Amino acid sequence: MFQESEIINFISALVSVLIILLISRKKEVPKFRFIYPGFFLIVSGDVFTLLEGLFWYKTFNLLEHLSYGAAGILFAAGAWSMRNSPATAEEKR
Amino acid sequence: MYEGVIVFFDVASAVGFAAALVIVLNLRADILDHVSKTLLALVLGIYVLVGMANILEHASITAYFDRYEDYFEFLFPLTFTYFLYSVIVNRELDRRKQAEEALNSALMTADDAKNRFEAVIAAVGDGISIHDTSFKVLYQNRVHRELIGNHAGEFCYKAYRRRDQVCEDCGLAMSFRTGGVHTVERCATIGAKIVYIEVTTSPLRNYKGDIIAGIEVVRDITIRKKLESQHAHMRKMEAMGQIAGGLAHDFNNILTGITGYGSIIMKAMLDGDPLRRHVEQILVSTKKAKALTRGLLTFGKKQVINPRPVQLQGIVENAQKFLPRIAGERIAVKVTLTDRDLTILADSDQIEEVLLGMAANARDAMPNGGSLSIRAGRFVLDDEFVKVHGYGRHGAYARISLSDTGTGMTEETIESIFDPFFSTKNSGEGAGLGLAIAYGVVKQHTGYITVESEVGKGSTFSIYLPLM
Repeated sequence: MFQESEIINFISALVSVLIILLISRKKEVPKFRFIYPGFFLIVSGDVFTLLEGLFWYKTFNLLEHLSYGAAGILFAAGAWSMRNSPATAEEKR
Repeated sequence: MYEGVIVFFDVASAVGFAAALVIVLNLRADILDHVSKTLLALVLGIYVLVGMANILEHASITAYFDRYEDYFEFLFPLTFTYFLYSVIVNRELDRRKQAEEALNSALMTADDAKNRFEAVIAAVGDGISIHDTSFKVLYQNRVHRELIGNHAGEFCYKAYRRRDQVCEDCGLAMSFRTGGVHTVERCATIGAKIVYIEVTTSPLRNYKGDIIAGIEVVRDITIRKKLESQHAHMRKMEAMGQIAGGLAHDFNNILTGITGYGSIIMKAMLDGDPLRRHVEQILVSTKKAKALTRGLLTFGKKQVINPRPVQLQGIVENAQKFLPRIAGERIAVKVTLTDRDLTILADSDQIEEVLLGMAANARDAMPNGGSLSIRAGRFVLDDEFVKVHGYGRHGAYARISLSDTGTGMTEETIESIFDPFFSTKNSGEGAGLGLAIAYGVVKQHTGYITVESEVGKGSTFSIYLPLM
């Protein structure tokens, strides 16, 4: 079954996604390459965590960890891209 | 197998987030500001911990984090959202700051431009003022203030010309009416001085093209006017000299014929001939006419001169012998000569004649007595002389000045003083050729003659002859 912390995680992720969508509609959100997909993979991981409590535990657990693993790699790539890309500094301007 | 894959993903997650954390912590400030960087590092740190907790859990090393990792995890989306919000806010702040800097920079540039404009306006040698459309003086540069006085905030027609309404010849009013540039010359009294000024006016428009003010540029042209007048006078003297000289030359030829035939008649006549005295009268009149033509020839620079190197002091000393007789008892004559070399190339007889003629004029200007001072010395003709008189070739000159304490002359008299047949004396007292001859002689010696005079105080004539 669901754990309390998983529900909280899911709700906070949902709230964040809503806020980010609202922000992105109203303001120009910086285009952080890899980092956005990384963030949405974390949120997906939270969804898979919830789902694994309902059915197909192994599959969703695997997808959860896969999401986190991929998110880690995407965040590393995003940070590297941010470091190397002059567009980021340009974007800030 | 399943556990192995899970651990692999957890390791990938922990390593990826740790690498991202290291990179983010080392990002330059121009890429990510301090607050955003801290928030992103927190996000990454959370997932480094989550990844490590998962690894430890699956390796069955500890299950301690298992109970708490989810509580860490929920911080991730919120912190990430806040990170994003922080980046956006900071970007906005940066933009505002940049806009403010750009505005400040623009204002500073505008201020610099204004300062430069004011410096240029202040440095211009002409008087510049700006008036609004009601003719109120808004701005005056230094030269304008010196020329017209400080009248900022006053109506120009009231301040400059003490009038209650705009002057009928106002150039500024014309510029406001026509939208064009107008230049007028006028004579103005500034303090006790009479000056000639040239006023150029131009309208000042706003971005819509409406006239909002006018610029007035005032130039003191007194010196230019004086020089123009002196040039005109010199040209007039040249023209008169040519006419008088040419006429005198032809008339002299006619007189030579009359004198020749008169002399033949005289010789042929017997001593007791009743017509003899008439012929004598013809010859006397012819002699007078010849003297007159000689004077005109001299004025017209057509008289033959015999220049030789002479010391000016010698000429003055020679003339000095005749001065007491010319000046009379009631006039004190004082002669001051320099010891310095004053060798000039001149016809000493003619120069002496000029000096004696001028001394006689000085005597006539002092009917009740006075003093006549004659000075001879060196003079360097420079720009100052040219500026004052409007003519003159630079160099070293011998100067003879004759100053009297007589009645003096008005400006009008001075204007015509060297004209032939111009005289202030009564009819029959003089032919009016004395100073015209002096002018001609001096000119023939490539010199200059000037006069300064003040009514009631006396006159000073100065002759400048080039030194050898």
